[in-house]
Amino acid sequence: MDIADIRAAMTGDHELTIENYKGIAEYQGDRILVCGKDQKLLVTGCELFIDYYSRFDLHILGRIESLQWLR
Amino acid sequence: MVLRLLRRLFFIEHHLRIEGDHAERFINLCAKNDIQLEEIKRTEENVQAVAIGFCASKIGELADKAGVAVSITKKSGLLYRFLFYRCRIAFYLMPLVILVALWVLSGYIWSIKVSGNRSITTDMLYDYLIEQEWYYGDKISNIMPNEMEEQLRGRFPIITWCNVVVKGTCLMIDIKENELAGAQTGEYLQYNIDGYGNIAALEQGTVASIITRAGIPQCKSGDSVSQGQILVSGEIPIYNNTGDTVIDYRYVAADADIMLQYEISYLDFVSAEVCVKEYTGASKESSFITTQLGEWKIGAQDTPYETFDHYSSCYQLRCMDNFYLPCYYGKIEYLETTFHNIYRDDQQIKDILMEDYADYLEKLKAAGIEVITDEIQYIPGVQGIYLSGHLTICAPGGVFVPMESSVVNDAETE
Repeated sequence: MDIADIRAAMTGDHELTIENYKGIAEYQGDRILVCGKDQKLLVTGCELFIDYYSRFDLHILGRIESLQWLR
Repeated sequence: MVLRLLRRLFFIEHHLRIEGDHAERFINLCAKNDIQLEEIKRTEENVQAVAIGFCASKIGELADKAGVAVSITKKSGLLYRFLFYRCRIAFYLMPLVILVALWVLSGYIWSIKVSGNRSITTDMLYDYLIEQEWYYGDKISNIMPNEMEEQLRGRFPIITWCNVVVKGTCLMIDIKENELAGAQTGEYLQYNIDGYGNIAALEQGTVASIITRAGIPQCKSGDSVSQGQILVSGEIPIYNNTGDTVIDYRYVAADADIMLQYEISYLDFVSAEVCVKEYTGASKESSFITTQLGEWKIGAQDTPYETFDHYSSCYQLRCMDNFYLPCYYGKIEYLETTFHNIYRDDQQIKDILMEDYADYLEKLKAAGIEVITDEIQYIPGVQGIYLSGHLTICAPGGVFVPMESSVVNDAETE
């Protein structure tokens, strides 16, 4: 694992914790695009909701349908 | 999760409404500037979020930088409340005053509980406590439980065991009495507790029956006796061998079942005119708080109606089980009443008199008293009718009369 990689941990299909990111590029109710150093993570689903967001971690709740890594 | 809740409770929460095309940029800027955002939610018109901490001034700056319009819709949190009320000294002083008041009040006795007493009434104990200057509102440091226990036992010899303890602001007195001594002598203060004594006639009359269990009977069935006459003596003479000289006395508690036949009078009166109270159905309630400083009433005044009955309930305020406070609260219910006179005819009066007389006979029967003959008659009065007459009854007629300690002791010394 590269130290620059985004780390994502999922609990079921309703909870996602993301670390080691730079910021969010897009936030809609059905998609959230999180940017890392060299990659992007696209989270899609329904009623997506950012429970908390700090410099270190991001906690997403909602019905998560897919995670897609973009370069 | 707990940490988050505590943080939200103690810090200031800013509820934000973010409008514009670059809400994500604003969110990222907040994170970079150590402003934690929570509950970020996208709606059709805007993005809503909650920012935690002292960040109101920074939010405006970051909003300008991100090119969005941010408005703070609501502020909350305990810290915010403190800052909001910073000009109101009373708000800050109140908890302090309450704590100091509780601390001061915890040093005094605000409730006295007595348990285990049977023949000694609670009022007698309270009176004695006041005599000894141990009373409601006294300092807890003035209460010496061991000394109190000793003094209570000394003052009331019938107490065989006594425990005095202070719990919170409550003085608890638990006692156990010598039940046998109480039952035999009836009195326990002036007389010896060994129970030596005679049985005397309660009334003037004729002895119907006498069954002696202890002592020497001084009368037999059919004898006429006067009130106070000794019927069974507790003083038993001991004779010498020849049986003609008393050499000593032995004292016992005289015990016998004695039935006396005597006459009692009966008189009852029922008025023709009677004032009847009726409730109109109207009622008012008021609450009250009573402290050492005075009484405060909320609701109805002292006299809400011209004539009324009132029922009140009162409770003492307490923090915990035994931390009583010198503060009482309760409710008073006022029920409006009206009075009007009604007139009874002779038959109605006689019915009532007869009903009362039947009740009286029932009570006599329940007390073990047999009615042998009764001669009663109606006597018309100015305003009503009397029922008057005499009853011959057969009732327990002996009363235990304890001997004074000095009599017994002198005899025993000799």
